Amino acid sequence: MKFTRIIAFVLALVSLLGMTACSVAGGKPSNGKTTLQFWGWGDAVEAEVFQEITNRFNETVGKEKNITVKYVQKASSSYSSDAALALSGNHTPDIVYVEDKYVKSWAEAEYLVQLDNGKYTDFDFANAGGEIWENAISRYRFDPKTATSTADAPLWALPKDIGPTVLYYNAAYLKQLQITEISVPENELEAYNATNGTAYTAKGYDSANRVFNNRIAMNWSEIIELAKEMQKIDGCDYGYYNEWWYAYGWSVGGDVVEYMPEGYYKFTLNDTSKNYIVKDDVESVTINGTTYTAGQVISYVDKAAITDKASLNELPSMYDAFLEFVALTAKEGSVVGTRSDGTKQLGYGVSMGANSLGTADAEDYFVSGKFGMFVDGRWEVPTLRQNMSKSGKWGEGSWNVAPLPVYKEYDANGNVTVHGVAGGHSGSMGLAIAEGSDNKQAAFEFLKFVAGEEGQKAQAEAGFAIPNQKALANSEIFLQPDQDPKNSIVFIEAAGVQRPGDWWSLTNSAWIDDWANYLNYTVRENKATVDEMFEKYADATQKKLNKYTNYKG
Amino acid sequence: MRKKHRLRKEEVQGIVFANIPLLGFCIFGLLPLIVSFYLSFNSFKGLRIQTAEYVGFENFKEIFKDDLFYQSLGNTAFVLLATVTALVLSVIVSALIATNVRGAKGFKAVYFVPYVCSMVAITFMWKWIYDYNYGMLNTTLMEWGWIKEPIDWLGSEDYYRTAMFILLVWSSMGFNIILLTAALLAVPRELHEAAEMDGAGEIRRFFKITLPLISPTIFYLLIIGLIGSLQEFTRFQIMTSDGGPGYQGLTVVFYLYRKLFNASGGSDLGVASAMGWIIAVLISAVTLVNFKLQRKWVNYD
Repeated sequence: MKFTRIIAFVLALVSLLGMTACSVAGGKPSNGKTTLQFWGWGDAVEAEVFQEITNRFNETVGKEKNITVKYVQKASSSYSSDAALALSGNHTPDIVYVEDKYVKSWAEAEYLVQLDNGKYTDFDFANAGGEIWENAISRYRFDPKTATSTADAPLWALPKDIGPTVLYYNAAYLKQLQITEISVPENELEAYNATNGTAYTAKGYDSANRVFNNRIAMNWSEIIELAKEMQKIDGCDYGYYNEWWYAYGWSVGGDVVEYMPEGYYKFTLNDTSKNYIVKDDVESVTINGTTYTAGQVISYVDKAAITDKASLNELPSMYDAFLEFVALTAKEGSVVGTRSDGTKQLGYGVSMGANSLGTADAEDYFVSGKFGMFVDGRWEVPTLRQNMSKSGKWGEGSWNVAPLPVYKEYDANGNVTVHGVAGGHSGSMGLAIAEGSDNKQAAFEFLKFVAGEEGQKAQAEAGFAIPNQKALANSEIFLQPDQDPKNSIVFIEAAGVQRPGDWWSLTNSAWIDDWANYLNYTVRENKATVDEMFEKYADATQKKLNKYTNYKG
Repeated sequence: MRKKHRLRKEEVQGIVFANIPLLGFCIFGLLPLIVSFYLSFNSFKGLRIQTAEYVGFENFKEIFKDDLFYQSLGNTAFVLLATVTALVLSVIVSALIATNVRGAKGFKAVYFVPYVCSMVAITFMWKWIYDYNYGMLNTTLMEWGWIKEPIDWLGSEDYYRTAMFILLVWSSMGFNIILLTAALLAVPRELHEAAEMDGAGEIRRFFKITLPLISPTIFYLLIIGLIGSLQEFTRFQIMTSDGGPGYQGLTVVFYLYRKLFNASGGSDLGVASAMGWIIAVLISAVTLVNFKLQRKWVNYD
């Protein structure tokens, strides 16, 4: 009996003590050997790739510098909240992923180590843009004091990868519709026509001649025409699915917020003023002290100072571009909103609202044939290779990729007279060192390895993201011309021009939540117009934006 | 002079064993409560407690100025309504099952299934049932010709609350029915027989004899049901993780969660802690009101 009581007491005490948390940190160096903890995420394929990269580091650089990295796989669904919790404590992992949407808030919360503060040498941060995509590295720059991300703002992470968005299209549907599919860049079109005796225009989709060129971006009308063609096929419910406005707004040089000289962010999604782009045959023009070259869009602040428009082409306003996007999901003929010129924007009925996807994803609808085209990132490629290229229903070559639509106007011969800029968003994951790490210098060695050629090559071979290094991205290791999509050069072109979405604009997107909820649940479901949305939320959104910079104006 | 009582060995052992769970409560219950109280009066950089800056009642003011907070209160009141409805329906169903009809055991098992299943699994099941394109509900209704186009159950403000109401009631009834059936079977038959002999009909007997006698059980279920409703989060977060159409799916706990783990980046530890205390006060108030009111309708005789 006494023995039983002693056992019961010990068990009760142990169970109590067993509830205490375990340490997650790597360790302080001991005997000159440093052990680091690297938290990763992803599916089984990605976990395997990163375990392999970690092993390679341990066998090479790690062995040389007496560093061992332990790779810890975390659930992707809760990674960022788990990491934020760990980083806020005293025992943190040494290296973490940081999504581009969290880098600003994590930098502000002092979770991360500034990489370009002069302590970590042996990496040319200043010229990193020459080797790494500039828009990949710039999104990890942020100054918490001014809440801005200029070119000289502190750097908090190195990009692990970049995931641009492109237009996925069902090539089998084009065949069924007897639309000729070609792949000729615009600057090679003339020579191609001369050689082949053809007369293809510089259109992405030439509906008159039924030709689709997957190297040239369609304009807003062309993509609607093609979508409606595809909807004639039995089983294709929507010709074109796109849940992001970025390609439309950024194509005309607009944006959802603009940083003003007075030091605050202005809500400009409802900007009704026209935008302007320097004509292609103009070398340069100076407006408000800023020099713009051919093909550059005039900034929001500078366009107010335009006095002479002779060197410029006019582009639609941000408001009009946004209406064009919302019209995709609106019922055909329904009123979406009022354009800047007072006319009504009517719906096209070619797309489904994001909330109507339900439990399925966009690629599920594309694979089932319900979507003829959809916009998404590079990460869809492995799934589509598996479910379309290798499937009996579709087969090899049944899908491909093309550039996102761009605003363009043509003359009677199909030559471009006015064009916007290629736009669209890309996602990215960065690699960062935790402020709480006891082994920052060692952690940086690992960061350089993963963000460098060795680590990037391993990821490129797996095919789930674009390497952050331009040269590697442009090589056959990534392009994989023997596999679908055959037109993967489009990803490289997109990576060069795309940027993070509005989730990145400020330290959090509390300023987006309200109007985005109304947009997705009400406006895009045809229950309210865009005009009503801005009437309801524009002022409140501006008030929220002012708080980020403590602007009292 | 009082003799000093010397503790017997058994008493010492009893005190030691009793204090272990108490120690557990102090470490994992009381201490976090005290820390949370402290956090609610400070602001922080992210989740770093070391960066605390005293702000007084600013966190509470921020909550009370936020329209979404009041919306979350309204949504939570809707959940309370669903709980009460579930309880009323449970009483009716239990009364039918307790009459020992054929298959009563089978019915009990069927109604109890939602209670023994994982709440997450149940919610996902209903999410698929409500799916706009592939859901069983839309498919069946269209097959029967009751609707011509699929209904956006989880994406439309017109239908979202109906969809969630069905889920909430369906998943809450199981436990209620088990306890109520047991309570009903414990009602002495002699009372019913005596009342029957005096000419009381079935319905009168139910309201005058049965209900008062099972009122303690109903009260217990009401209290835990209301407390559970005020803490409702899982089902709404799984159904619509962005708060649902017009934020109809944002309960008070979901509102707290969004403040702490802002899906769009950034965490507000101080405000989330303040919200936690507001919820605690709310639960206390509702429970207190119910305990006061119980004197009017709960019969412990």
